[in-house]
Amino acid sequence: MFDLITQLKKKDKESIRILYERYGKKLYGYAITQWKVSEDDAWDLVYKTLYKVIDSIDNYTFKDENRFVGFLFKVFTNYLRNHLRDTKGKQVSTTELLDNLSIPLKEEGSNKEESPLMRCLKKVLEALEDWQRVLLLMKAQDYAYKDIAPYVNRPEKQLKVYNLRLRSTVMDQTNTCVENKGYEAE
Amino acid sequence: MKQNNHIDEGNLDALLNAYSLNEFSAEQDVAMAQIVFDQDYDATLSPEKEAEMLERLNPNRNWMSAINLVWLWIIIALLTIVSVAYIYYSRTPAVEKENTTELQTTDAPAWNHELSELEPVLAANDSSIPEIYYKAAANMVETMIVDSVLIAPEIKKAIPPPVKTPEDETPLFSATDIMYYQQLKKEMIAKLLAYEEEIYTPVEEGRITYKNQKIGVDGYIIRNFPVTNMEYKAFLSDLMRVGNTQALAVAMVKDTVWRTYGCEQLGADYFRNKSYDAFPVVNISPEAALLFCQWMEIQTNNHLKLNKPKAKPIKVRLPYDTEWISGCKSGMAQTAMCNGYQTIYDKSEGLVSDAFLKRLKKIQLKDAKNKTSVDDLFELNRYGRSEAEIMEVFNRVLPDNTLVYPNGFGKIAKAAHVSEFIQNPEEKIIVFGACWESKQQYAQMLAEFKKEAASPFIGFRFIVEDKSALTYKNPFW
Repeated sequence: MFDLITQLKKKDKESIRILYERYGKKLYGYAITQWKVSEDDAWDLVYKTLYKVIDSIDNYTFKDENRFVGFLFKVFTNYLRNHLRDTKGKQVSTTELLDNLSIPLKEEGSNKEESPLMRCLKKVLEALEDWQRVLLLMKAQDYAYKDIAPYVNRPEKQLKVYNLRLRSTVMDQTNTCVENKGYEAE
Repeated sequence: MKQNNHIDEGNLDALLNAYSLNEFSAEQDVAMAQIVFDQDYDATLSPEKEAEMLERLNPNRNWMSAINLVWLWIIIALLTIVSVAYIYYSRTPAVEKENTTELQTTDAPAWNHELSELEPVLAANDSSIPEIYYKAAANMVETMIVDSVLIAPEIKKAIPPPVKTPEDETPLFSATDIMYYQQLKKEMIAKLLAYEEEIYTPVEEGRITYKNQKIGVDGYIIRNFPVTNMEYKAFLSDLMRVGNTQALAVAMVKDTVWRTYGCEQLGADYFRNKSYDAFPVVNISPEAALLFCQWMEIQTNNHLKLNKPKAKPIKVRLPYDTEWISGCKSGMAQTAMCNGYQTIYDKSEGLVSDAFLKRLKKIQLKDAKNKTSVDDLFELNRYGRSEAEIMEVFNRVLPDNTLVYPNGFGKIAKAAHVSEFIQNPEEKIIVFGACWESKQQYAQMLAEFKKEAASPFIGFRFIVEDKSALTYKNPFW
């Protein structure tokens, strides 16, 4: 099998094409369909991700391609997160800037602690089983139940009910945690 | 706020997505990555865009680009030589005579005409810009070019405490303030790049009469009102954040100047009290205004580099006097109503033509029918009034709850009604604009300004040169 990582370290042109074909295209589609990023911005995000990966790959050693994929996804998520944080600012009035952030992203490099709400949500999500967390997060990103089913080992038909119950549980537990300051007990 | 302490169906998805982004950008999650890459998405790049991406990702491209660049420079050099030779040999005495009325850009050498009698009155700084400005600016570039997210611990230790006025020992910005102004800075950049129409107005290139000459002015984007206290605080807090004390010393607002005009209350409140956030920043030196422009330019271009690598950098600077006049001529500065001496429309200086003044009078008459109480504010400057009288004017707009950024700023700018720093062709900073009781009163205010190097009656706005936003039809020679 073509050793993508070794070839990328050699800055081989063909490896860059394969990197784009295997992962760049998927990331582009992911940004547009799941995160509603514009086509131009998605292009920028994918370009920056691949460039960063190619540029910094010499500094890393990956056990296998799966680890490399995890790294690639992390780089992309970082750019996506920054992009959403920056573009979100355009729609927010200054006077309400600190109050009305619909997606409370943590500032990169800042020492600002996460809000009690986010800390509680994190606590509640981490207490869930893996399949439950995957279901919630994937559904929040607008994936169809048929696409989620293979990863949660549950019948597709039951996923809607599971999801509704989980949402309700997560909301209740998070709100209770905030009210009781449960995040302080970490 | 509900959204900050309560979770419900309305914000659950957003919070889950925020969680995903925060988690997956901090920790590698191979399983989630596999899930994302396993899916088929209904969105594909066009072949052209794909080719462009692969071309740009190719590490060997830089060499190719360098070679192409060499050829490009050779071609440009050859074209320039041919053009210069052609112009030189085809020039005849008849053409030279016509050149006196030829369209000239603001950069053209035709600026070498004699300075008018108004110039010494307007010149705020007879000497060139002090060296400290350049040092502070250079320091600012170094510390801000990477947006200074990280400051080395040893540098942090070396940073002296924030600059304080002798009268007020409380620091100007708390840690929370600095975070707030960081957000504001981002919004300022976003609004600048979007050229939001409430704040910015594009002015297309055109011709104006200036000192009895017809000259051409390139297109530019001008702010609709001066830089505000709030925006200036974002600037100062950023300097404080990165520990640029040298720039901070140049940029600091001289609150105490209010007191030389008997305005104790305004001295304490005008810059510091949030009620005045939307008012124009005043009591700053010309060098401070230049630093602000440079800061705005660096911050915006850094943002562009990171987020739109293909975008051309912009230039932020003080307007030239010709741009002020052309802006006002286009109705952008809305300075028509004036019952005293209006520096911009000084006929004795030949700054505008008779035809323009005639048209202006017609517009004024027409506007008078729709005049509002706010328009009255713009008829005369606040200079020479007592503190109580000035505050009475300010209070007319202060309680207006509609004054949310940026919509109410224009109205407040009228209430404050300040002159502004601009550049003249010799790159000196001069003071321009506002309606004064008389030319003598204006000269008196300038003399006082020279003593303190700041005045409560002088603010500034900036313009943006953005080659990608406006077309420049004038040839580069």
